[in-house]
Amino acid sequence: MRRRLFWIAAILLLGLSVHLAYVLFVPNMEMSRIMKAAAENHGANRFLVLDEQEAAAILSQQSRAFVQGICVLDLSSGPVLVTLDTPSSYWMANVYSRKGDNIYSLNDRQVSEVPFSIVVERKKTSLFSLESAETPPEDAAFRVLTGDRGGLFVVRVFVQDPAYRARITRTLERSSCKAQTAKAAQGVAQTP
Amino acid sequence: MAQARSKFRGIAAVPLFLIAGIGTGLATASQVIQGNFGSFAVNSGPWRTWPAAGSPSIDPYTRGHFLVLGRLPMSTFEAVEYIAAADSEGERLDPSCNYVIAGAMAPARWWRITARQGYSQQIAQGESILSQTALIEPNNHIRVIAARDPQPGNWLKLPNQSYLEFTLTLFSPASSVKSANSTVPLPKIIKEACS
Repeated sequence: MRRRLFWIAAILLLGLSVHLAYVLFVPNMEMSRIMKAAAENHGANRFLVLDEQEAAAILSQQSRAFVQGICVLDLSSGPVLVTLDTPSSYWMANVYSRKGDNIYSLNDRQVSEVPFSIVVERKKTSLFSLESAETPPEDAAFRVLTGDRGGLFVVRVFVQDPAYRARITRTLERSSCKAQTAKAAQGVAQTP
Repeated sequence: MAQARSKFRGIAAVPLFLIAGIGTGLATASQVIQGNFGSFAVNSGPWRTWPAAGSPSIDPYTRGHFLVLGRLPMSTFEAVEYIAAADSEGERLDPSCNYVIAGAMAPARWWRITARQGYSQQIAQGESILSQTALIEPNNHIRVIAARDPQPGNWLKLPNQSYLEFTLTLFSPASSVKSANSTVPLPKIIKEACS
């Protein structure tokens, strides 16, 4: 009887460990796969418009209703400036953390003028810094602060009619994503 | 002899212990991630949604629901996704049957209904309907016929698979949708003839 109880307790304990490991680690691994797949061919801090096959392979989403653009964010050497050129259609832009959490959302109704810029940068964590909140770079309309040293920027533009797909893709391809060195970012911020 | 038998039973118990433990862990994790257990998903008729999707306070199970399948969660500010694996009577969806998806649609800037082949993300031509191209009845009511063969009106083509789910995505939904997931007006799924 005691031996049976021991095995039941052991199975439950192993089950709990596997349950937690699956829930906590598999999503992170999947997010790492997405970021690795996105960075593999084009590198980090580069804007890429995905065709339907790439969207299925990288984002596991094959949707004819959207044209999707991505940029793998590497914030280790400074902020990243994403300049978006979007058509006059419904679109949404999201910044995801390395864990896959959606940390920032924006859509066409919040932006009055295109192209516009979003700067993504790491939060300053120095305990001894007496500096007040930094001024956002002047040419960036939106500023996203993250505790992560990386992430993923995704923009999805709605395709109302398949005939517009090529035009939307061409417009979105004018977007860019580039790292700003700390010095350059400071220079932009100090521009009068 | 008895000692050898006891030793053999001890050795044989280890693989059984591993199979039972790992199986229990994976099965329970999968059930909670799919929303069959726990309070992470909210049901509204046959439709099920994950209200914490894309929010800063996302829980590990909601994150798992999206990312285990390699999908990035969108915030409820941008989109609310509902999944139905059963009809309004609670019967599992069968791709060899025709279904009518009819009733009031929740207020949103636009919506999409997709016939999904279980976990597959491959959506073929005709297996999704967009509000922009759909015929919408007065009072924002819809009537979509999901079938393998062409149908008049809004036809949602069903895939030739053994497993089926409907996904309803409300893009840029009204604030009432974001705040009251269980009371949002959503269409019913009614089973019709089966082949």
